[in-house]
Amino acid sequence: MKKTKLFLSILKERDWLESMARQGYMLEDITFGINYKFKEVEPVEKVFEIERFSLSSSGDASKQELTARKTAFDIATQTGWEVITHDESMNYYFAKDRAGDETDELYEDVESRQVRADRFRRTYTLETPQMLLSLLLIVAVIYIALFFIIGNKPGELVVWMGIFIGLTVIEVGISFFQMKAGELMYKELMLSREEWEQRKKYGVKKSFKKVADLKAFLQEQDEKGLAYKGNVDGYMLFEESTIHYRYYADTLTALKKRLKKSGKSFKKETKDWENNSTLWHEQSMDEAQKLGLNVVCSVESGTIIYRRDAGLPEVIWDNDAIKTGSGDITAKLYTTFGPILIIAFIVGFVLGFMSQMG
Amino acid sequence: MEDKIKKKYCPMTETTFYTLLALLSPNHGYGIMKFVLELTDERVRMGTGTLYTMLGRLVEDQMIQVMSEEDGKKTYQITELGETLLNMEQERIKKQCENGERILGDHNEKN
Repeated sequence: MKKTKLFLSILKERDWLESMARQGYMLEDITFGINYKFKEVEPVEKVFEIERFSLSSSGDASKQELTARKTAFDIATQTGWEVITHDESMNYYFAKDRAGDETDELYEDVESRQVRADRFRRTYTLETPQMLLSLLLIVAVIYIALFFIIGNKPGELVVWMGIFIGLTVIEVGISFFQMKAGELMYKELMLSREEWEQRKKYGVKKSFKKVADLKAFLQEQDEKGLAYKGNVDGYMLFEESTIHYRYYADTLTALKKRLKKSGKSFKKETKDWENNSTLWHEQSMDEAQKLGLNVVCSVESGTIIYRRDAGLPEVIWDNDAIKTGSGDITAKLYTTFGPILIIAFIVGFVLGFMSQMG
Repeated sequence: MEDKIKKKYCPMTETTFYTLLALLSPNHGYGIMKFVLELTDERVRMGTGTLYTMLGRLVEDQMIQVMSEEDGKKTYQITELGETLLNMEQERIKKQCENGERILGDHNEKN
């Protein structure tokens, strides 16, 4: 039985292979990373794991890296794991009978888990001048070929330029996409099985138009007995909790309004060009602490989430904050987008002016 | 002894300590895991991946070496360097234990 499927997530691929085994299809071979071949067996509970044993593209390898695959096969086969197959990227697929205990977990410590995660990630980073050079070489060959095809006609120069730019954009896009994929793999491989199950069960990916919507969602979750832990890798994480909380929010826009009402103003740090400073957050947290609110986290660095035991009386504080757009678009408009738009406008104007002159 | 090795293995992690202990006599992967499991009353259970990552690292740092190989199954044993560092760690643990017993012991007696 054959199936073609593209997985960007290693853990989701692992889940899929395990569920296929449960239905009576055991992985036999993988080609091109997306064509899966299964053999029909009795439904069986298996755990799968994926390891990568490939040299980094720079070609440099320590003794540990050179002996990694052989050592892994040695130890894994002694502990009940079977090497099923591997694909063209040197991803090796291991499987073993599910024991239902800690032996299902290949790595139980963060340090060695990171070694594996790094093996995946570094295949996608542009590591050496050699890699960059080979990339540029391919680009140059394509351009030269195009030049000969299109010929030396000036009228078609525009078309040639267009293709030039288009191809460059595509190449940069592919490299960027690959690096993102590598990052995703790294983050996923740092999770233990339990953490992954937790994330699937309690992790939420959601965006909100207004902070009020975010707050309402948090209260909804709270009613289900789920407390907000914070955001990691784009997921909102929750955990079961017997304590109930009331959630509050604060934004820079709201902070400025409050300061204005009491006759003060918010002094932005002049060196903070990219809005990376925690200055307003610190002021917000000072106020919050006096009100007895505990920090949970910051969302999109535009909204700080606080909470307090629901048994304590409600605090009237964030009525302004919840009216702002999630991620505090108002503040971003004035501090980040605004200046960029103005600079882009000036540059465009100057270029246009110069092209008129020349 | 290289400063780098000293910094890396003083102090050493619990799993490293127990692995080196298991390799005072020649042993192979599963033998190491079983030795540590029995010795610690099942408290220290090494994951398969953790073990093979660690063995690779210990071989590279010359703390252990491959004695023989049969059908892809390697037998490892501790080296002189490994033994030296293991003894240093044992001394350190002893001192740490004495510190704890005295200060924590006094504290616990008073409260």
